[in-house]
Amino acid sequence: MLFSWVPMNVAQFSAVVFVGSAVAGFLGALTGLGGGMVIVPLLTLALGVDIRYAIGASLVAVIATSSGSAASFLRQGYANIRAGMLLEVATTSGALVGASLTTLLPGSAIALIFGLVLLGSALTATKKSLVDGEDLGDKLCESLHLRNTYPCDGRIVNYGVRRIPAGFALMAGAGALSGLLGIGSGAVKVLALDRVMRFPFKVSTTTSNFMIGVTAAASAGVYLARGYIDPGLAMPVTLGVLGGALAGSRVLMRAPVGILRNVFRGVLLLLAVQMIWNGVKGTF
Amino acid sequence: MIGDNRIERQMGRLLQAGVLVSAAVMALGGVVYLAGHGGQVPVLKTFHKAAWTADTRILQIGILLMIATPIARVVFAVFAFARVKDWLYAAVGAMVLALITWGFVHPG
Repeated sequence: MLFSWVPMNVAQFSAVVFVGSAVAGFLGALTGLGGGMVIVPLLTLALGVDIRYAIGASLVAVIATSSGSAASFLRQGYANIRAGMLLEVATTSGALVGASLTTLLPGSAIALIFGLVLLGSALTATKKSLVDGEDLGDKLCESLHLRNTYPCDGRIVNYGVRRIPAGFALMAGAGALSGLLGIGSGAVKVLALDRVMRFPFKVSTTTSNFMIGVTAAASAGVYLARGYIDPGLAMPVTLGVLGGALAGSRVLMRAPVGILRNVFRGVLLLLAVQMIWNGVKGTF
Repeated sequence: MIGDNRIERQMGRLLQAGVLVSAAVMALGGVVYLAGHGGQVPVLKTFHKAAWTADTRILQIGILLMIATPIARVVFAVFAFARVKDWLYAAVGAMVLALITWGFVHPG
């Protein structure tokens, strides 16, 4: 409760939320760890916002950043849109289950799960896969027409994928977390694409991003009906994260990303511990 | 696959336009909202179903447009895959669309 004791009116509060969200979006895009994960702890721990409003605002911001960044890399031909749409069947199904679960759980349980997921993604994020060679995939990949190409070092690389059913199942879990916590759950999506299905790394990250907006949109109906999306809060969060993420992807080439990533990861770990602690104490 | 590059570029443009328009409407709605409510005390500490009242209407339209943007991308994909006679992926897109629609019609 860093700022909750400072009396603020709506204009001042919106300004603080906007700046905090812009910084989160900027660092999230720069480090590839995703800004959305910081928004919920920022709103709940630092500003004393109820966790249900926080995940509602975060969900809208997640849709905005996913759609915004997908626009640029779709033109570069990295994402596998067929695989993305096939796996969206799993993520949207999972999201519907997760979003319905959220309405049944108390705030402290959501905080606890949030903290554990945050801890997991801070610890495992951005480990690059080892296999990036040409692998044309298995039989199911062939019959689902998922073989594709992507540009790498000025040439076109052919690739296929493996273990589609296992990837599909993990994607349903990613969708459930997204619906439950109002996050993109990009870390789990990349895990499924990269580690399980053996997509090339660049294809995994862009395809994951491609799917995030649709997954979150599936939860939006439930969130709207349950009154989780407060327009006055969603506005500065969404515009802040979106602006920050755009700026972050612009300076991506020139920044000392390695150091920043470790600093940001440290911040995520601290926030995760705080969320878990508050969840266990039942503060929310 | 052949034809995918064109679909990808069109999807990219659709998403970009959707985000820009939604963000602009949200910003406009935000100005109107802050002009009317900027001096009030924020009430977000305890959960009451968020009120979607007439005074934040523009802001609400911006939020709904933002949510509609990826959904529009799925609708586009269904038609784009049908146009190139890729019935498998037109059906996959339709299934995704049905699942999203389910969330809005039966919000659990």
